[in-house]
Amino acid sequence: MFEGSLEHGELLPTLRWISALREGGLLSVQGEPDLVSVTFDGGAIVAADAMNRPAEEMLGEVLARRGLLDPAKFAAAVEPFMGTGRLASEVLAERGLVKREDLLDAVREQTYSQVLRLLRWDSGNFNWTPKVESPFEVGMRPISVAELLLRAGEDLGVEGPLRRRPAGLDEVFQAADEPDREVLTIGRDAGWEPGATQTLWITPVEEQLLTLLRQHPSSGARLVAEAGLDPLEVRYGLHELCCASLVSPMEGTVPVPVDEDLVERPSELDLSPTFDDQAESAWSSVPALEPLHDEPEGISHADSVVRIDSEHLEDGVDSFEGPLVAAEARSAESWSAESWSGFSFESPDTAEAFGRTSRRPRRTVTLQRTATWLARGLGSALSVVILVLLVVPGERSSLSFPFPWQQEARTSFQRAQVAALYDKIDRSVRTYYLLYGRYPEELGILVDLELLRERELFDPHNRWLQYAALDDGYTLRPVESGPPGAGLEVRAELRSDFFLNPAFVELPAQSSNPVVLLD
Amino acid sequence: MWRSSSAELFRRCGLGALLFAAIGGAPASAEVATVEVEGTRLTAPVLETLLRLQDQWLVWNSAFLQGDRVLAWAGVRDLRSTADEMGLHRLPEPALGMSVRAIESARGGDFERARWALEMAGELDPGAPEWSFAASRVAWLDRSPIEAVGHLARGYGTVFRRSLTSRLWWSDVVLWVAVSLLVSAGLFVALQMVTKGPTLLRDLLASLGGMLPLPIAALAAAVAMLWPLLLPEGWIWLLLQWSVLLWGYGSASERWATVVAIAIFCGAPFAVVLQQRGTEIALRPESRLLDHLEQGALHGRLFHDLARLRETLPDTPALDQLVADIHVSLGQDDLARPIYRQVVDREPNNGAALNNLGAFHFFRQEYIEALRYFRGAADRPDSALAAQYNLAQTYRRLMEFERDQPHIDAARGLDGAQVDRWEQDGRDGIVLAGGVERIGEIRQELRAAIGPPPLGRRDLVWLGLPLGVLAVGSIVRRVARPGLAVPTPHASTVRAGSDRLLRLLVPGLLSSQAGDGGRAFGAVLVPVAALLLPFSEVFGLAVPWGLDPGSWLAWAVGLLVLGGYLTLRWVWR
Repeated sequence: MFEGSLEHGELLPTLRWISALREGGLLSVQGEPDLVSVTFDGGAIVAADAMNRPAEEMLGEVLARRGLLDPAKFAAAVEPFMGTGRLASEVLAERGLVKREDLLDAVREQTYSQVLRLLRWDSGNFNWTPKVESPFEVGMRPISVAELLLRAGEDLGVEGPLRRRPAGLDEVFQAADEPDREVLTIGRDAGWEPGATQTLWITPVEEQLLTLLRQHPSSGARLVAEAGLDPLEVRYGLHELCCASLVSPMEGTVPVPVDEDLVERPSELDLSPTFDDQAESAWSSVPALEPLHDEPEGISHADSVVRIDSEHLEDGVDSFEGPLVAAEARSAESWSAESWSGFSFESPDTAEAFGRTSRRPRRTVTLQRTATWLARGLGSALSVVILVLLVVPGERSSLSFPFPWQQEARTSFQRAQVAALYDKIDRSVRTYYLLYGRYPEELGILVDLELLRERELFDPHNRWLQYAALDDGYTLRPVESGPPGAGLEVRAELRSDFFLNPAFVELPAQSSNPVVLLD
Repeated sequence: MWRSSSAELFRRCGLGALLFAAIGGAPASAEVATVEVEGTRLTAPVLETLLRLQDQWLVWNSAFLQGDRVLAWAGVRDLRSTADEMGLHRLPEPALGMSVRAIESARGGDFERARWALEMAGELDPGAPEWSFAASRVAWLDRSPIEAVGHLARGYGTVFRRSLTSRLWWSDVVLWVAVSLLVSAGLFVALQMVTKGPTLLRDLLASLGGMLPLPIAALAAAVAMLWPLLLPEGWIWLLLQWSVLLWGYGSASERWATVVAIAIFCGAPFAVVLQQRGTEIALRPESRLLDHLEQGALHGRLFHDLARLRETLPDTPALDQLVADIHVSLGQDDLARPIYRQVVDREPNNGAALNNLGAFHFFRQEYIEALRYFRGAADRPDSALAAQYNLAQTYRRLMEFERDQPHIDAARGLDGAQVDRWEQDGRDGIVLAGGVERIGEIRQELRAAIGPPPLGRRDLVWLGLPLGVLAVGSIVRRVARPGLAVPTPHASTVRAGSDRLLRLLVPGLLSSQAGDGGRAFGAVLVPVAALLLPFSEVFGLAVPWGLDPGSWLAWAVGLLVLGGYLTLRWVWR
């Protein structure tokens, strides 16, 4: 499990890493407006859900948008099962309201939409928990990271995760000269970290593409055929290699028409090498990126979406959701940047290098981290308090009788504890007397005889029980340190026990009337 | 003076609910010499019987030390016989002494002597848990672990036959369950704080941040979260506050688990108090006497405990009747008769007392008086069988053979088999142990006299508290986090998988992160319950076994469950 922040641009490298290693697990992203959980299986996305926009709600919207189910019918069908643990898709399929295939498509669309939302966020934290159990619709076709990012690039344009327009499969690429940084492969080389700047990390797919391109320039479509790879993986891989300046499109070459036979396309995803008009116009507004080696020193392509600028605070306020968050945003306006200066964690500001701006104030990051550490500290403190209650003898009864008005019951219980213990000791002493005709010299003898346990030589407050044998009984008193406390001594006598006390049985005196014998 | 020839006052007969004794012998003299011991008048024969018991024990003890099995068996038979004379057929204290001697011998390697000592102990107090524990220990020392475990299990199985041990054992079980649930619920809330707390605290810091710098805001947030610790028993208020605050930040299943946790915080102490009520009484000498009488056991402090009981309940007809029954069982019928009379004066419909008074006159050959009492008892359902039989016997003594038949027929109509047994045994003058039958009533009187007061309104706070906490939680959720909802993970689509080490070291953390409240709670509960099992007596009451079985079984079960649980978590994906 590890954590990262959106401000530091650690999410995209993490997604690539998950994809490259075919990992499964749960990615939880906490942004300003929501908390989104994304489930991965085999490196691809299989489910996504959010706190403020539950999957059910979004699924209803998708179905309505597609004209598959009226919102009212959806609500009527699903609401009775809310909170029961059943998936909405399951309920709808069971009732035959929507075909299974249509439902799976809709769930896929809803999943994509959820993830798309978080790709818009500039600020927040995320944590990755590998191999964690989480639910997903088994029949849904997983969304690969390549597909997600390419499609998000098209849908979001300048707001999306890709910094430049991805190349088409019909373009011809060539390998660049030897890079100025070490190139390592995720999964094969050790030491990967999302914010690495001294090395270039590429995925195994990208490594394969780079190897082929080093042999000879090739079009994307041909690489698909030669490497036997998914066209989306190839297209996204080429895009990343271009961003890292490891390959470049050959200028002046005529795009090679895509051989339809060589490329197998997913049915619903538009694989056209060019963007639609809207996306094109969105991309056109983005300043052209400089090659990586011209970026500020120490910044990799991974640091793509970081911008911490308090000047843009008010921009961010508009995007906040929910009354509490809005209240937070409103109050944020009155914060002074200086007041948070001691809690800054951010990396060098690189957003300007990419012509991007952030709506995320630096203090929110600090806020989140402070909250996280505070919560961990509080949780640990509570665990320690519970442990202390368990371990400290005098405090144990407060676990059973925790409320202040139970004082009487607690006192009664402690009395019963002492009575039960003394009863057991008394029984043991009497048994010893029965066997040996005398009192034991010390209670330890009774432990040796297996009549008592070692810890029963101490009272419930863990005070040692001082035992003293007398002529006609014995005394017990708890001793902590120093002289034994007054009023705590208990005296037991054996004279009332007819088994143990020979003097118990005193036959009545013979009648005083003389016996007269008569002749 | 008349006395019982084979007093079986406390031996249960085939009817189960009724106890009978056959009284016979010579008519008693008018006055008997008595000595008052611990507030109870005892006649010379009874004192002699007690003296004989001491001597017979000493004979057995010497015979054992000499290894004389034959003499030891003779001692056991004599002890049994003497106890039977007193109407009580168990001798738990000598039996315990024999069990301890058996373990001593086994530890010295003399298993043969150990086994016959055990056999003799079983004769004196059959079915006692201490006997099973001793047998288990001897078998263990004799390297028969399976036999040892069998005896141990049998010993624990007999716990519920004894009022005191079963009460204390149950009390410990309830405490163990309550403490395990409380600790688990507390740790569950701690987990929730770790996984869901960041969002809660972020909201809190954001609210405070408008007015304060972050360090001060963080400090204020910490104070706001921890202030309940300043209250008496602050930890429980802390847990309740956190449960309320975290309510809105979890999934549906986590909210359900939180409901369960809150119910535990408020309900477990209530259950413990209910269970503990009367435990102190159960440990008092008065209760010890009643336990022993119910079991038909003669214990060394019989008269001491009886005196305490009479001091505590000085004016209770049920206790008077029990005391009269004890006198009858000791053969002190002259001392019993005036007490029965007092009982009848206060309870004219007391069939057992009427019958016994009739029997007393019957044995004094005062048949007309006897018929009067028997007729009165014959109308009461609880004494009809014995009274009808006694009526028939009385008419036979009066040679009115034509009048005995309807009564014997009436008795047969009630329980023919019992009448046959009496006739076969040649019994006449059946005495009923009505006082022993009223031990439950005496216990109630005891609780009323010295027990805890009944639950009051203040105690009902426990029932209202969870509802109040849940109401506050719901309001906080609605106000602070509107529209908040996270779907519950669906079992059929949950994919197996785990971070093994984390699953092992911090049970419930991953489930809590995934929003599965039920699993998170369960993941904490199992190891906590297993770990606390061996300490159940540390939290609860020491069960006053005569012979301690040790806690190794609890350790074994606890560690087995914990090991199995951790192994499952390790291998399960």
